[in-house]
Amino acid sequence: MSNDIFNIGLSGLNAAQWGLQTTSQNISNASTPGYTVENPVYAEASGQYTGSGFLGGGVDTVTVRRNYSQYLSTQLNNATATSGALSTNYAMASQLSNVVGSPTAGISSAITAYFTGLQNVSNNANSVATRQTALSAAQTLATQLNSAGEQYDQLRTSVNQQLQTAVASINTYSSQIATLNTQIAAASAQGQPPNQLLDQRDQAVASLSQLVGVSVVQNSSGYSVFIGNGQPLVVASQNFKLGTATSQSDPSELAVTYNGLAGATTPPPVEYLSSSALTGGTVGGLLQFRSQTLDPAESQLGAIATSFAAQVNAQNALGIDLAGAKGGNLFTVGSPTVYSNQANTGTATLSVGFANAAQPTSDDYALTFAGGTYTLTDTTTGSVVGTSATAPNGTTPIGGLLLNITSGSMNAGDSFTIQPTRGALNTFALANANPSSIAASAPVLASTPSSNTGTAAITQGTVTAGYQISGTTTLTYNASTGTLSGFQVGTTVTIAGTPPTSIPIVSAATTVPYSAAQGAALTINSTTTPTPAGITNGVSVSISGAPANGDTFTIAPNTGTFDGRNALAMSKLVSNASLNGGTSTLTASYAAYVNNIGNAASQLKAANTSQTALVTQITSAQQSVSGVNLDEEASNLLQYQQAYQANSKVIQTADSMFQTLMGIFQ
Amino acid sequence: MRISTSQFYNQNIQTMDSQESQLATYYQQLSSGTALTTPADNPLAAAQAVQLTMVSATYTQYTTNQNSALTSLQLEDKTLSSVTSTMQSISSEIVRAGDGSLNDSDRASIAKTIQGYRDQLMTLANTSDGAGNYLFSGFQATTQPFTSATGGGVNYHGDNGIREAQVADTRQIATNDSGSSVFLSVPSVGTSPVSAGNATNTGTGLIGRASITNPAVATNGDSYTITFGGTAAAPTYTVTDNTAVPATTTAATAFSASTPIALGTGMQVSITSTPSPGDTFSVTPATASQNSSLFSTIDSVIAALQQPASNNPAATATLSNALTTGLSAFQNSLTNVTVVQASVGGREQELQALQTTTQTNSVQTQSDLANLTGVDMVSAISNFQLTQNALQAAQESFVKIQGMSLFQYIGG
Repeated sequence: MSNDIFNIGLSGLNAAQWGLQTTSQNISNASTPGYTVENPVYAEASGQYTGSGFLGGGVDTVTVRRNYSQYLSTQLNNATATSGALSTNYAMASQLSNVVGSPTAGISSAITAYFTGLQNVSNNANSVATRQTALSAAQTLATQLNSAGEQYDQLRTSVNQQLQTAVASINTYSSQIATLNTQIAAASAQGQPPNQLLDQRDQAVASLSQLVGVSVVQNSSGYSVFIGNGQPLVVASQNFKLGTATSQSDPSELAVTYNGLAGATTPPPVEYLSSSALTGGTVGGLLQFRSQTLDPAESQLGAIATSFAAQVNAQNALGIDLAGAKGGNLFTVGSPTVYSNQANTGTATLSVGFANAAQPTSDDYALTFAGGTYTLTDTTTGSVVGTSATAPNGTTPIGGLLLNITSGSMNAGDSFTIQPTRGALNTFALANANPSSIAASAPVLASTPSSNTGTAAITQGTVTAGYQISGTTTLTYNASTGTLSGFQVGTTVTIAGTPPTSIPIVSAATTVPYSAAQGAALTINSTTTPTPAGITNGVSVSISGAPANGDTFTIAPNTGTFDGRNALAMSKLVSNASLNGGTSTLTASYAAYVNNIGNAASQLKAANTSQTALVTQITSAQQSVSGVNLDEEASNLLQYQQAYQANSKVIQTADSMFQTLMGIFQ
Repeated sequence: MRISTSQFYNQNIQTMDSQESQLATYYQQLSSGTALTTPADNPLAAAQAVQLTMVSATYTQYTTNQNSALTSLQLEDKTLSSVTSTMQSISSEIVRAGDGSLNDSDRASIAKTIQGYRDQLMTLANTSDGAGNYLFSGFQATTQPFTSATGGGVNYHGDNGIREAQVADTRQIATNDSGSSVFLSVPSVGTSPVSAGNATNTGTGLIGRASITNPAVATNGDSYTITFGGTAAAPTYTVTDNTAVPATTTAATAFSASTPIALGTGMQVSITSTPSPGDTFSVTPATASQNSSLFSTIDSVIAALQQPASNNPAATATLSNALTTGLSAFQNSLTNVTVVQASVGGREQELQALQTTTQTNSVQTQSDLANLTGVDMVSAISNFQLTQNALQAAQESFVKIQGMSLFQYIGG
């Protein structure tokens, strides 16, 4: 009998020791990441039949159980993956937002400063000082655009580096999980769960979820881990590697690749993963930032730079510089970037230009060839711009671009990446640092001589691209016929109106009607194209008022340098709606650019904040199951300590019973 | 709910972290005075700020343009005032030269005086601004606009270029007038036709100023020649309209000094004293090229005054006619300068009015911009205070709660 009491007391002591062990383990790991609170599981030991009833056999410590909830942990991992993506994306987007900086300074101010500087030039056209000031504003603009380009490059490099680091960590964790799968299988064979290894494996999955969104399937052989569209990272004891490689379609960017089974003797061909295969986590966030914020923003700013250069150059070409020569280019900017896909098997070389560089598109495109059809896809919006059965030859603009396969041919499956404006920031530069190169003067000067007796006036005249002014044209008004004569033979005079009237000047006797009541806007163009030498082309003047008979108007080349008409015209480009399909000015486009980046950053901030709150909530829920509460442990400590004392008392009692029995014989 | 002790610590730290970062943001706003440092702070306001900054810079530029235009116009105005006063001096000299009691040497000295004034006018016409640009040479700012021509008059080397400054969104204002429009032309309205006698006339006929009897008649702008015929005792005259195509000539009409000669149907002119047969007179429009150049007019007057005329009735008549011609043409030129000066004054007034408007707009834009980007101090300070209090409360309660552990009460 007392033997049984000894045994029962002993089992109680054992159980209390397990309890104290587990409690100390819990207390010591109270702040260990990934630790799951443990409890001893007690069961009543089986009884023994006696005539007086079943005699209890004390307590058994069945196992030490982890308070682990698969459901809550999976939820937490998913939430962590989303949060990881958002926080990475937000961190990068807010860096970009910092790059843009104050909306009241920076590139927009530089553009405005350049244009207002041109008004100063127009006020003082022959002053080298004001020209130099305008040129300095241009230099500032170029520097700011270049530095923006550098910062975009840095952000892209930073994305590439982070991808490399993240992919290396992913490989480490997946290999860890595979190893743990093996160890856990071996350790579990003895019948008790290896709690410490299980904690480690769950912690590895949680860390992996920070880096990339994964789904975990638990089966008899352990955890199987899959990414996006089903590529396995871990299956039982095997892990599969991810890698990074230069993107096939854009050499400036790294793509994530799937490299197959780690340690395979014959590695399978590298598979490029699309961004849809990599959602969530740092990797997902980086890829999303790059494709949805970084690339479009750089293209958008590049479009502004491209349009600015094209507009200013075009207007400068319509003027006369301080040296009296036709205006040349003031700015240079690179043409669209074209990448031939590394996987191309054809020999085609593609060159791409703008149909109208003043209205560049800011989207990116891909030209593909399959099934005898060339397809141009807008990769920013994902829509097909156009298809053709014949190879593009640079004659018909499509999507605002002139595509031309200059040599070779495309094979089926070949593709080209076209980035029309993304390279503009790095290539934007001043073409000419000479202050006299600003073509401030207009090339034409129309006027009335002082001997006119009527009240008619003529505007000073404007020119359009491809203009040519040959000598002085003197127009004479004949009151009896109401006509002007004296236009150069070989030109065609167009009188504005609806519809416009065109009169080819076939001989010196050809006249053009003029009505004093309506006035007339006249455009003189060469009748034949291209314009032959010595024929006036592209000159417009407006005549208003009532001329007297015999009054004359002269249209002559301008030789004066104190003329700022073209500088003024150039400064007015600031309000020229050329971008976004002819609806936005440069400033409005820059405002839209700032707005886009600001929106991206502030939306991500909000999303990130709410996702962080969600993670906190789920963490609390998960920790309420699996976390260590020290008060609870203190109470457990007391409980097990007392259990230990009580069981000791049981043994002491058994002993004293035995002593009492022994005392009978003395 | 069961609380995990480490999660409890973590969560408190997180809360205090976010409150501290909020506090830092408010502090930065308060110390910098800017609420909008990056577009992420307020994307919509950032986009508006870009536009407003441009508008604000544009107004600043308009102010610069207005000042620059005003400077140019004020210089031109001042120069034209000097031109007018010099011309008035010349005018009175010409009137004085018409005094019959003067002898040849008196007139020669008057010619000298006028020559002096002419040189002054020439200097004024070749005025340049502070940067060395000639005021009246159009776009040819570095070319001296006027040089004296041999045989009287001037050569104009400038052009008709008019510089315009952008002084408001839709307003460009001319900041100069070409030399030819100031000194070499006269307006067709507000001026009178110029009468002249041929210098080779042998009679003593004196032509007066043409008077307009009917301003609506189109032929008032034609140029006429009056030719005398008949005999010395009974002179007749014919009037030829040289502008009509072909030229028309009236039938010979008997001349009477007391009857004005009709020029077309809307104009008449008186010829007094005794013209000889063969003598010719002319009446030409003010805008005719021989009448419109100020310098040519002055040079002809000087040349006429230098011709000896004492005791020679024909020469005296020729002098008198030349002075009549000169005075009319000169008055026309004076009218022209006055008209140009009035236009300059008008532009100056417009600029001054625009300066006020631009100033108001500029202030408005600045204040809009400040509203968008600036910190609302009151709300920023109160937010700062609020967050600070919340943080303090969080810290104090954290200290209290973390002290509550069962371990403190057991053992001992």
